[in-house]
Amino acid sequence: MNCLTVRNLISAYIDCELDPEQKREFRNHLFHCPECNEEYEQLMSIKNCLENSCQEPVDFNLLEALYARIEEEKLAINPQTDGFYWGSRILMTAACLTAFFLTTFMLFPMKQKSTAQTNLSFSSPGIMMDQNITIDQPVNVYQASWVLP
Amino acid sequence: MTVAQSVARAKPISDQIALFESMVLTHEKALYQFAYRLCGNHHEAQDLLQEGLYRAYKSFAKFETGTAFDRWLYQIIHNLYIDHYRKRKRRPSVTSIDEPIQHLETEKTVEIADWTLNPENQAMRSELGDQIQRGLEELSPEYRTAVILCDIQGLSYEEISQVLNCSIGTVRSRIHRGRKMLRRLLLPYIQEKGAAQG
Ligand SMILES: [Zn+2]
Repeated sequence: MNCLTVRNLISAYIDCELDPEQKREFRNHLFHCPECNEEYEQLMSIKNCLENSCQEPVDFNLLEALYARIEEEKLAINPQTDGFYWGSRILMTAACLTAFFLTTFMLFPMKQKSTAQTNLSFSSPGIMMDQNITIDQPVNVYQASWVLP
Repeated sequence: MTVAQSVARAKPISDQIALFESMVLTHEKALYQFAYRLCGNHHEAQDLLQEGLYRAYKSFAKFETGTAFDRWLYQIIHNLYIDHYRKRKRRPSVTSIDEPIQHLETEKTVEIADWTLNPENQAMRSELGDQIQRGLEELSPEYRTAVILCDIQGLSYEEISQVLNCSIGTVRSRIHRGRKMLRRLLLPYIQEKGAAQG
């Protein structure tokens, strides 16, 4: 075994992953080669260092975390199991309806007003539609749709 | 279906759950240690563990009794981590992890100079722990997992090759290179500690 081969096998030797013949040759080389021996000592100290690195304290319950995750998934698949779900559904529908009626009321304020205008426009049967436009009245398309049949 | 039949059918499921729970409890510490060393912080490690356990729980039917439960979970956790890591980093270099990495090994020399100056023995112990973690984080996830599984979790090369789904030769070279990269960061600490103690 030459130095290059030995250096590539250092970790495998440290981890007892060499076959007996390789192990014997490896030891033989280290005995005669201080450079490879130093390399071996250094890598050995790295392994020892990691092996002896202090265990981090565990303040975490794995099973609790697992069941919390399972619950999360159940809620995501079957949201109706949640009591609040339907309550919030009804509230949302009510809010949408209210908003719809309010907007409609504001956009088409008073039917009386438009009929008054109609009366005004058509009070005299002699006045034609195009004459109305020439008076420079502001035109609202929604009001127009109310007025016209 | 009669009551007896439904009980007969339900029983194996509850047995399976009990088995799963007992296996998790048996390997609790090792699993946490693995996730923590992989992520480098408790918060991420706990998220990773939770998701890993959840995936394992859902596919527990695929688990073959008689095979090692801890290795099966290491594999699930490692794959989850790699998936997440790749999405986060999007580094093209991940494809060539087993190529020679001389340039990486020489780059690291810059960082180590200052760390040897700390003479306090107690502070050094916790700092060595930090330094180990920092060193592990310098490694790409595939190297990191191989080194953690070998040196901290105590698995053989063959067991690691099953977890990482690669050849024993690949495991051997990842561990060897990983240790050499760690040496650049850790050796000054270890030598300082040795000098302070002896
Ligand atoms: Zn030599």
